[in-house]
Amino acid sequence: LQDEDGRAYLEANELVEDRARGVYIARGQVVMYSDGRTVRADEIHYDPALGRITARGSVEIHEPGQPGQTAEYVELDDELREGFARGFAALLENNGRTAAALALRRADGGVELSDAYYTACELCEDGSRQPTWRLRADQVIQDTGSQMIRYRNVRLDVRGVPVFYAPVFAHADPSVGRKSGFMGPDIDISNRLGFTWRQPYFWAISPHQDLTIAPRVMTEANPLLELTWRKRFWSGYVRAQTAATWEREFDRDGKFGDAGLRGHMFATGEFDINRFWRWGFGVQAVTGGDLFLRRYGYSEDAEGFESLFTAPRRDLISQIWTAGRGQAWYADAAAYQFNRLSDTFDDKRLPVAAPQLRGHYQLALPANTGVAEFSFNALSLTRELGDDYHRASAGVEWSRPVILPGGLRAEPFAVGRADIFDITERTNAGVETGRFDGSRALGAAGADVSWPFLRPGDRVDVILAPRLSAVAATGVDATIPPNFDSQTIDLDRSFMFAPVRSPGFDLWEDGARADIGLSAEFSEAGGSRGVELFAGRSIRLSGDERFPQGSGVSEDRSDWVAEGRLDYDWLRLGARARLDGDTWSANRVDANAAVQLWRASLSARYTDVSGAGAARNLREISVSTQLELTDRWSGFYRHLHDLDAGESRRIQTGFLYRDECTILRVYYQRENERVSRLGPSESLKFEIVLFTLGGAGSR
Amino acid sequence: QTQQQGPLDISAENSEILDPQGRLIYWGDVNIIRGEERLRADRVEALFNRRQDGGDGGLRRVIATGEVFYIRPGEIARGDHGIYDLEANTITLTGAVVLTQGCNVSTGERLEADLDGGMARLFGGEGGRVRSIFFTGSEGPADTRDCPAPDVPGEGPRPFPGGR
Amino acid sequence: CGFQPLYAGGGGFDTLPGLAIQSGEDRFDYLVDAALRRHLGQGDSAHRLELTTRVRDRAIGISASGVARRYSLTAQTRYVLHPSGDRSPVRGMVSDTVQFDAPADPAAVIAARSDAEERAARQIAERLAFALAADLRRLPPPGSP
Repeated sequence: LQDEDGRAYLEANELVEDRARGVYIARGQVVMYSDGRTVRADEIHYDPALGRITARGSVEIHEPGQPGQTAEYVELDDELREGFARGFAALLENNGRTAAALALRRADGGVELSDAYYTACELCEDGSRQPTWRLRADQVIQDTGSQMIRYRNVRLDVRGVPVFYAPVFAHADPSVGRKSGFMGPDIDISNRLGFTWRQPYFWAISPHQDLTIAPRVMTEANPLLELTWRKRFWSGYVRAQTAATWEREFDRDGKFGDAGLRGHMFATGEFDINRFWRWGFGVQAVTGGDLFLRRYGYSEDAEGFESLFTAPRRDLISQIWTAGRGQAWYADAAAYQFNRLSDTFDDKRLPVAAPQLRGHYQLALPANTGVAEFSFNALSLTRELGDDYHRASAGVEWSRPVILPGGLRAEPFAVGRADIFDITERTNAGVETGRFDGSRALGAAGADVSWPFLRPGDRVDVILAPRLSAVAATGVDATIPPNFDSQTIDLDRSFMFAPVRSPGFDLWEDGARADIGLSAEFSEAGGSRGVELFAGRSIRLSGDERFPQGSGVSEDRSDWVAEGRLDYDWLRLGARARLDGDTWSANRVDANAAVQLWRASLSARYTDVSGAGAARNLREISVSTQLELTDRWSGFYRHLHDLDAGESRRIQTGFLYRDECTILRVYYQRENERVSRLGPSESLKFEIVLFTLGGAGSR
Repeated sequence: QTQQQGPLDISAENSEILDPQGRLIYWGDVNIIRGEERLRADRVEALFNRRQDGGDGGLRRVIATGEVFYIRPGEIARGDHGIYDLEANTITLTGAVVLTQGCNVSTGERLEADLDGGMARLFGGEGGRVRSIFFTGSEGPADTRDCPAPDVPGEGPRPFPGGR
Repeated sequence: CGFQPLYAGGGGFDTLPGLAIQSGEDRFDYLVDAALRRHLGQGDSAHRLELTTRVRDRAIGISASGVARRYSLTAQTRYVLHPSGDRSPVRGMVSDTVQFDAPADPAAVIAARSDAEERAARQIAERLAFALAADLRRLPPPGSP
């Protein structure tokens, strides 16, 4: 149906030509098609002399690439472009909806609506249910030129009740992709900053680059400016955020010290070098030793700006790295440094790692004689105050599982490794107290034998799997380096059956040992329900004790390791414990539970490290519940409680309203971490997002 | 309702008086001319008024079948068969109707045209649809453009023997 | 009492050694991939496996000064097993959690996490082996529709 300019097609049940008035009247499921646009209606009058078309009765206007527009009565030119309609409704892209008593279609394709309203919520023709919100205005103009929707005398109705009025208002046309413009404000009330209003402006510099400029004004502190920049390249991306203010330090008793420029800088980026290799960087920096991030509510983990390595809590890490992965190898090289978010700790005592190298390569040996895994690891740490630590290790591990008659699975393995050390020990004041440089060659061999039995049932499969792992390791003569990377050891199922039992390279367990374990698994055939139990113990046959107290494996006969797991439709339980060999008291317990019942869900986690010899007592419980009140309203309560110190660390409670066009979230948050002089922080956060219009409230 | 004035001329390859009450049959490229109107068909049954004194009155009604064309300035309508009622001054064409007005062309199943009142109604018939194409836009009214008019079969009206 | 050795054929393990594995670009993806290959051993299996792993790291044992004294590392691997023959693919998911105490020095924490990743990868590999074997036990033999 190729038509040149100026041709209109008409189809109807009946066509009347009124020669006297020179008008054609088409009736009955009329379809008119002109210049790519289609109008459907019960009746269309066409006046060729004036070039006017009026359509009446459930009129639909369809334009290529545009959502439909409906009306009761439309007057258009015969190119179906310009004209006005009464009782006009348009479904914009991203389901923004406009409806108006009177609509004027402008030549540029935009629409001008009078006595109109705009919403993104479902519309009920019969008006049985008011949309959650809608913008009512005397005039609404969809301006395709500036890609905005402009309103005059606009009222925001929530469920039909006017709650907000503005003489003029505008927002980006939802059918337009990325558009610069003001985003919803973030409003927050907290005991530290008082009432805060953060007003972000989003500047879409180009389709793959944008900058968000977000000034923040606070009643209890000077204003702060925050910039967030993002750019996507052909082979990668960069994201950076910086904020700055001119203010004194303050804590719960008010301000102290003198004012100065304070701020932070987070940045991260990652780029592909080729099919195998990529590189990236991460920057996390904050002015002075002060607590800018915590005071102004920024995440101390640089959320959103993470990179390959993450720093422990309350530390920042800046890093540069490259990593490569092939079918049978992986390697990465990195340099990173830390600084601690504390105004009392001297960052000179923190290490700079330059470089850290890690490499793995797996080689399948010919004639099915097993698999050899080569690994390389080197770490060079330097500190201005404190120890320097340089180590390189290269190792190979051979293993070859074999199924013996009767279904016995044996996996013999052998490990060889060479380490080179150069460690200089200094006190925090920088005085050298010792130097250790040397190398050593280590070896171990053993076998991991398991003999699992299966009883397949029509509803439940049962698997019983006894397991024995025996390892003998070469003796370590005098060259035992100071222990830097293997200080914390915690015996559990994964540690027990590891060929080389050590979290790092500094500690090597020599002598012979045997680990026994029995696991039982009852799983529903084909389903996800099941119960799993495990119990095991490690027995040292020779070699002296290397592992520290509290590790559970410092004695010749280790603690008992017990694990249990239950998965049922609405209940999931998990528990791990280390029980003292003699007294059966729990040295360590980690338990978690998740319940999903009717409309409520609860998840809890308990950790108890308070057994004898534990380096630090730690008993903590965290609970999180969510209750679906209606299909739109839900309430939540989260609590992290330090049982050891007998006080709560973090409480969050609030409610959430969510439907197809709105999100409303109001919650109270109390963080009770006493960091230097900053007392606990309490804040009330709330957030409103009207789909396609943008959001407001705190992040 | 003004009566269409002017003499009426019928020409055909052959004709036959069917019966004395005033029904004539013409067949073979029949052309009826009246003023600026022309009706052409393969076969026409013309009915005349019976005058009280037994002579022939004016043509009352024409029933045309086979390639029926009704032509007047700026407009050509075609159908399989048609009824031209001179007293009501209406024409009704049915069966594969094609109405051509300059470049605008419409098709349907049935056309009822009131010749002096100026109303023409085109129907799609049950289930059928009326389809039309209009030339809009700035090129001016459709009929001035040089669109090919549909060709009408036959040699067209033959001069009345002895001329008019 | 109905028990039969799992590895004595019919347990689903016999056709697994040497299966082709596709996995992501991170270190943890490699560790799971390598641990599974080592656990299953060499062979000429015609099955194909796709792995997608997500690792979530959580600080637990937050002290009054906000320092985390322990970390929990939860790995979740979703797999799609394309069995040999034109049998339809089987999907599943295995997950495991490994915890480690946080040493005082931040570089030592990174080393401890690196080791915890290796231990978690071995656990995930063993769970994968058992889950794949269970799937194959329930599948019709190759060639049948």
